[in-house]
Amino acid sequence: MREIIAMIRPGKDRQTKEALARIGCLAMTSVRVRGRGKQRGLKYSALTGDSSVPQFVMMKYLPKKMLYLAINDTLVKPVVQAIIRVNQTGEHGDGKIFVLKMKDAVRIRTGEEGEVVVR
Amino acid sequence: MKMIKAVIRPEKEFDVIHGLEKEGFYSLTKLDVLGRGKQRGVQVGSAVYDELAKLMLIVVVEDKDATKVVETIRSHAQTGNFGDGKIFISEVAEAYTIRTGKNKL
Repeated sequence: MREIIAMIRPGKDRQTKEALARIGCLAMTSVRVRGRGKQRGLKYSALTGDSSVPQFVMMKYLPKKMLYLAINDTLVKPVVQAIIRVNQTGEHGDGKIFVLKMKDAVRIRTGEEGEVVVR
Repeated sequence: MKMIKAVIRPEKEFDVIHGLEKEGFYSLTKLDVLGRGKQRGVQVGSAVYDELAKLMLIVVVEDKDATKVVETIRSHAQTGNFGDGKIFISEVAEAYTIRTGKNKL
């Protein structure tokens, strides 16, 4: 079992969910987060036309959506590829995908453990 | 790679992030969470707060940087009182940058 933590653009979450549903990955948890990467946030020019305000504004943290999935080992590759395909714009800020090992999973309703829970 | 999840006091946010910046770690994700520890929250008079506001930082770094990041977070978030928070470290098998599609931080 693997857990996948993906930070994506908040506007792309719906498309991502649809793409994941198509490959059979239906369950997930999503959280609104703030974050930044190597670029230390977003630097943009303020189009006020007012010379008294600084021309460049720094936005230190950007809103992102964090998707949290628990899946089988076999689904890792298709899921990663699907997330990349939907979210790739080629610009900075597309996000990251982290793949972590998961030791065990328990379904609370029935008490089942292991692979069957994330299937 | 290691994923470091730190649950810290919200008021220590800027200290910790500034400390990480000084060490050269700029990338992070933060989220507001509610939580409690062994003390089961705090009790003020008759009012019991069993969920306290905390800030969770998620930082993913190469293995060699993990101890440095943990040490930086720990030293900046520490006050010595209950409720300073916890730092959890887990192993990251793969990390993809969506922009490039490469398996690299």
